[in-house]
Amino acid sequence: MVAENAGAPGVASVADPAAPSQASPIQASPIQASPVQASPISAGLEAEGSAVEPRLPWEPRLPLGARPARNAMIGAALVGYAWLLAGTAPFSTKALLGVLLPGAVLGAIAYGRPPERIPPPDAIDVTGFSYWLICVALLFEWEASAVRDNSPPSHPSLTDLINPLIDPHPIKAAAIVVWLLAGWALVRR
Amino acid sequence: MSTRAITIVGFVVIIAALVLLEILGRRPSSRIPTLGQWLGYVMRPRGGRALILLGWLWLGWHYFAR
Repeated sequence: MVAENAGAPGVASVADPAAPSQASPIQASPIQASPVQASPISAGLEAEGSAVEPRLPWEPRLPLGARPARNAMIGAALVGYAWLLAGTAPFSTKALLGVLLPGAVLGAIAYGRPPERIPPPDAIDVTGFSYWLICVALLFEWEASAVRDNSPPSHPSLTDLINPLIDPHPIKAAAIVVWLLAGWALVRR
Repeated sequence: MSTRAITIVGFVVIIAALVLLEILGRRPSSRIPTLGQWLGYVMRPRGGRALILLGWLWLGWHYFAR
């Protein structure tokens, strides 16, 4: 997955011969974003000689707060769904389907009709990334050590610590909303 | 200090370190990628994308269906 980049020691990159940054021996930044591509809309505006700045890929198509009615409806639907899912009994078919349904919808969107995606970096710094890996590995190790002992009260797992916190219905519903939004954020990556 | 407290402190320290990395990654010209940057990088190939999305789905099942 990760290969050393000859142009910049310590910078990893995906082997992609078509990537423009691979052709350039100079890498200005440890973390490099994909080249900026103007949308057809902004490109058209430029062609007409407009003074409008081209929209960057990570900028929303519409300004924040645009289409408030649509956003409010989506938000209400999300909260309603999360509220219903939070009320289902653990280990029930309803709870399972309630989790699988957003997964299926987001999977279909991700692979069938992906939204405008935030361009990923062409390369990331290996050292910087290793800090993340170390912390994530530590978290898994700490969790695994508790799970291995069947999560006794003297050495609880993260799951057993979090479950009582999200047990109240409103908090669980809020956690589900965060989970759903995180899923959408992942689809846009 | 009880072993339970030590366990909880361990989780808090690790999660605080993850938050700190995100904050450090958001500084200008930082060599540390943000969570979004390295997730985006890992999700470039279809396999990585599927793996991360499956991880997200597992998280939901683990906390909200069990």
